Amino acid sequence: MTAIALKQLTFSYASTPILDIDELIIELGERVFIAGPSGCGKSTLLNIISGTLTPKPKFKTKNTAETTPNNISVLDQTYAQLSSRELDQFRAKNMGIVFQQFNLIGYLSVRENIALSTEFHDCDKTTLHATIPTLLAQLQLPADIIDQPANTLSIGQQQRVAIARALIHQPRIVIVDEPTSALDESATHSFMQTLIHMCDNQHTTLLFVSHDLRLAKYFSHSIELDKINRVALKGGR
Amino acid sequence: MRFILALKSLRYRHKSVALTLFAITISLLLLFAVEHTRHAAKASFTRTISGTDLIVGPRTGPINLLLYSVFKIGVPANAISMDSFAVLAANKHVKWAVPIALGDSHHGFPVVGTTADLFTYFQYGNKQPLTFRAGQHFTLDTDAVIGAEVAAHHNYTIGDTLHLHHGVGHVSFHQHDDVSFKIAGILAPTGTPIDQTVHVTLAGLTLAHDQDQRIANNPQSDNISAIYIGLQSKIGTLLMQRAVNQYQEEPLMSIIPGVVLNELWQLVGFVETLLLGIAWLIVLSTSIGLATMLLTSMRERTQELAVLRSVGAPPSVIFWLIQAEALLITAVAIILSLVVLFVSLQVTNTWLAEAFGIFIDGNIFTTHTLWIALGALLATFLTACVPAISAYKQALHMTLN
Repeated sequence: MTAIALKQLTFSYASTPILDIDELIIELGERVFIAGPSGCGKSTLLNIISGTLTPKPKFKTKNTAETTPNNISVLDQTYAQLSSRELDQFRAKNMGIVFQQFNLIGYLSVRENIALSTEFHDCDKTTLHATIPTLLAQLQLPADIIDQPANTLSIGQQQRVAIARALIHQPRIVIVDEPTSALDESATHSFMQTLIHMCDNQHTTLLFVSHDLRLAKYFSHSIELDKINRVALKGGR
Repeated sequence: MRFILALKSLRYRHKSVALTLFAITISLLLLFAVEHTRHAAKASFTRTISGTDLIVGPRTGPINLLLYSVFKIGVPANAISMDSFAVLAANKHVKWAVPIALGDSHHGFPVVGTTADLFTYFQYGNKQPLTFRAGQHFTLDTDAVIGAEVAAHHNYTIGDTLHLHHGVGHVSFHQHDDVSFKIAGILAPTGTPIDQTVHVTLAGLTLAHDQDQRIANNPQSDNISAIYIGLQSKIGTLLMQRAVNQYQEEPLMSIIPGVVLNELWQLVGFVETLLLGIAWLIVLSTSIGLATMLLTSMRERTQELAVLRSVGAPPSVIFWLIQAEALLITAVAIILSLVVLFVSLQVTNTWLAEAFGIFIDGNIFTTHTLWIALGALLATFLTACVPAISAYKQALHMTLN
């Protein structure tokens, strides 16, 4: 099974082209680092993979009427075959997402923030919720924060709780977007080690996006987006 | 979990939520109070007389006849002779007839000259007869039976004496001080104008007015103001009405109390509709205030919505989350306003009855209340659609960064 397969992917905001990728394949269990300068379309790519952005077909030709341009397939599921609601459920079940900052809902407790990941798809909620203390311990977070409101935690703690939320339902893919931008070097190293360790334990495919090339060392595979994105290659942005 | 989310979201913005909740509670309290008072007033109004099939009086307007004969408001311009009363009372359709004579007062309370039959036949509410809280009906010409409010106002007890004043105002220039009436009975409260009435015998009333008859020691009443009539059967109502209208000896008219009560209520009913309309507008405006509060909060909730979308919450969940918050505030406001109204009524009920003779049912949990609560929730739902749809659209186009 392929984790992510993108073919003939194009995306524009209004008339401004952002992405034009011929093919991008990521195998199951891979740890992939996607690098690129700011504005090269990294976050747009992640939003398309997570299903929150839906690109329109690039073109239709008489000869290729049967083909589906912008073919996006995740875990062998073609997005074009899913309704918007099914896409939301697919994301809820198969993906964990950590983004730059403000990952948590401040007025909910740590426990409730983590439990949110089990809310929007069918799963054994009771069993999964029982694993929250263990998960926090694995992320080296103190046990007594579990019922604290998330907005009382430090940024570093909040990012770790975000990892817990992304992993609690044991998703097949974890998408992480610039999570270390608000962390210092020491905290970044600690965060990366914990994230890699947790994903390895769960055999989760990790898709990590950052402009910081120093983080590439934590990954088995790196993709420089501006080298596969024809928009960037043509100097379109 | 989604309910907890809505609840905690509201708690997080507790200051603006508390102010909005307060405003909605006040507006709903006003609406519930207006609606309850409206129904209580109508019930109180229509319960003033029952079991009386016809009221006969000298020719005047139907509402005027009802006003002075039942509500003791205004005075009759003409009178009916006792001879006519005797003729009508002897009609084959008539089961009972009670004469009443108006025109005097006692410290602002109307005085009614009548017979002891009034206490046997007159009914109010749901055909409830008059009952005595103390004493009994007339046995002597100078006996008086007073309503509960008259007794309470003057601290009268059985055996006390009172005098009549000429006219119906609070201030009288002519007092019938020569004749004292002894209180023989005090009626139990009825929530009708009976509570504010002093009843004396027709003979006693004449005695107070007519010096010559008092000297002759043979008091007779010549004129009365109206007659309460109970019929043998309802079928005879129209026949009896025709008989009264075609009575040759003097110009008379008759009214069916229930029909004229309804006509009278139609005249004053627009006020209650106006009050109700104003109360609903206030509820609507506070609902719009609630929607504005939620709409304003959307800007600071962008990240919250992004988190929800990232964990797979569809835009419809976001829509219902906003709706749940709005409906939750209104539901709490409904409960608070009902509790405040219920407690207020329990506390003030006795005082209202004793001080003003107003009887308002303390039971506010009726189907009307339920409909208003549902109406308020519907108004909230409709106005909260604005922020909810805004959040829905925001969620639909939201990206995860």
